[in-house]
Amino acid sequence: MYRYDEFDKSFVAERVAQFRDQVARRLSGELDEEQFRPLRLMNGVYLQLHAYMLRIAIPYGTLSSRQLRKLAFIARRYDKGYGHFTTRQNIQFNWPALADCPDILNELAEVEMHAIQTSGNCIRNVTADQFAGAAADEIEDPRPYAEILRQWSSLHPEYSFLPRKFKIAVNGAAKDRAAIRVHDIGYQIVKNAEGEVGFAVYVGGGQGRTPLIAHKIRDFLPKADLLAYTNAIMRIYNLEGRRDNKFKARIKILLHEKGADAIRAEVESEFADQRDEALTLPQEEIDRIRVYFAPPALPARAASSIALARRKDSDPAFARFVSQNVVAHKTPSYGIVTISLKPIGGIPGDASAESMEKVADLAERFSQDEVRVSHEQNLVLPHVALTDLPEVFDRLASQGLATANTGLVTDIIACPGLDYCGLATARSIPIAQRISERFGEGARAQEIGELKINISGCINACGHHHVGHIGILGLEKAGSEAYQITLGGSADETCSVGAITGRSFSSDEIVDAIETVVGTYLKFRVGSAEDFLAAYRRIGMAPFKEALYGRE
Amino acid sequence: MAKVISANRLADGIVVYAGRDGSWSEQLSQAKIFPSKAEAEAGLLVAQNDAKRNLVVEPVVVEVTEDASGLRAVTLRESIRARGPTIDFLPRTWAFARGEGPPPANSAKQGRKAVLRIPRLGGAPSVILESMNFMRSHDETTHQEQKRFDLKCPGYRTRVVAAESS
Repeated sequence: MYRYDEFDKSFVAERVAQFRDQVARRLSGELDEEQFRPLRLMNGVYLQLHAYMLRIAIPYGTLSSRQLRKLAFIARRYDKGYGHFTTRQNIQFNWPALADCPDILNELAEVEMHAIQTSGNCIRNVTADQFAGAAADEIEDPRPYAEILRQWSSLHPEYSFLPRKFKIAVNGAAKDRAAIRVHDIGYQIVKNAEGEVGFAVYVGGGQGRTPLIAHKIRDFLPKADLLAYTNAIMRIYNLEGRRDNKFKARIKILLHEKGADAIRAEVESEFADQRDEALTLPQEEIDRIRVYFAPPALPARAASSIALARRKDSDPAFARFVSQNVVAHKTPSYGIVTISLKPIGGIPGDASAESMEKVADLAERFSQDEVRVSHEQNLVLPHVALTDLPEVFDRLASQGLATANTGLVTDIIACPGLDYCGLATARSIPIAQRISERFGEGARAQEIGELKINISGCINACGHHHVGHIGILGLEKAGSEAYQITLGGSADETCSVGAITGRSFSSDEIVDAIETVVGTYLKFRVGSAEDFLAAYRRIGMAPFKEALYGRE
Repeated sequence: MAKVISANRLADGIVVYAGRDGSWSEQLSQAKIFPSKAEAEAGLLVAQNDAKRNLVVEPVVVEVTEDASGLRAVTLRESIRARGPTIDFLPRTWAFARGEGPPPANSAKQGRKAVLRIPRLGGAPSVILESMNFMRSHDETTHQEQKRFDLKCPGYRTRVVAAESS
């Protein structure tokens, strides 16, 4: 794992001291709200409906047990005993007092964490595939490059006041688990014909009120040019991105308005002009960072055992957990375990301090001290020996953390919605809870198979509804909550934006409507091998519309 | 429609209402009612003074109705601000630590059931959020929290009290 050097340490400590002074000046009245707001936002402190909210970055979704324990400590000491993992690999605390925030940031600095650039028009937390460095299908670990981008972009003076926020994701396997095509820049690690590893560059993706899929503007970028090329993109965006209209300020709009070819030409020309500048990454520097992410020395373990096989045969719950929540690791005798934060009827992404501590203990004992946070709002133990699975499962089950629903209909992404968020127009969490209860954990959810339902409580799309196989967007209509359904969205390498089915549904109707959509899929699919997305892509919207609205 | 003034308290962001005695209260039931738009606007000017004095942030006028059970906010957003999230968000262990005791086994369920019934706001006066009393828990500041807060912001509470009683 990356460890702070002297520079990182003093940099973060300095920021905490600055913020402590700023908060003191705000409370004493020296600063008014208008002066203070940008300062608190730069440190991840928002004001939501009920209280302040502190958003903390978890760079590329990687946490050590020590860090997760610290988050649990903060939840208990300064909040209400829980935290909420977000769709951008951050964690949010919903109830911190402003006066406590400097102390919280100080606690975080002790474990090399911070809330810098989790808000504002700057380069936000750089995200990555949650299985990075562990997945069997990986070309190369994306995290060293995410870390290089993080270091370069932190408080970058040229890019601290961009036209709008800017999100970068890096993915290391052919399977896109980081949703890179809906990011401002997505770097996909690829191997070229010569066998060299570099990046395919995607620019201009994003969700929000104008969902657009990123364009590939370069097939292969050598690793050494990662920063120089990012810099070229940022320069073009910083100069030409629209500052006159907040809703048109993201780079996706610039790309849309000027065309991908024009932007590609401009970026390439900017890149060529500054190629000899100091931004070319020396191999030693890449190697230095890569050392931090070197694969852990996994002890040799048997790929299976009699106990494991017996348990699978005799315990259907365990067998279901293994087939649903465990995926292949680079080392064949290990597996990657997803810990679902979506218990049936629960709040997607919420974790109590006790759960966090329990997961930290498990990571320490069974997963090389590592935990990951996924953009689907789950936690991951990336390096678990297969023969340890029964014990890990039992320990998770004893804490209510063994829900075997990864990728299923109840593994719902949901933003905090109107229950917390000042921007929301409708609630998301209660809808997620009701859908989850409707489908449950039994045979029915298994029968439905892979199906991603994403719910946002407003047009800003934090709940990624545009790229849910089924997306739900909460709106306000004449004083009531109304929910619009989209179908056919996908955030992976086959990225697509969902299409709206038609008129929206009331809070009372929405769960039945989702059941109708699922029922229609089950009716039309060609066997259980055809998942929802494949079926939708084959049969299109018409049968779903017919089922939902009849001939109205 | 009757109106009250609401804001968030500067130091901890908690939702507060301008009270009848000039202080800020965490309870909507304690809010001063402004029967007309003009009166509410005058009230807002006073509240904006309190924002300038760094007691609260972002004061706004909130529409309310009054019935036998007391005041309730008209919009869903303001209902949620007044009563807290509509979901059973507290981990059980936390509620227990606060001395609230473990909730009855089915309380989470009841909470959600009530939510299901929440219906259209702006329609007939409804039983909105009736079973959400567990949400009030965040309003009560414990003695320990208050002490911690006083240590962090020496003098803040004195100023608030002075301002409230002035």
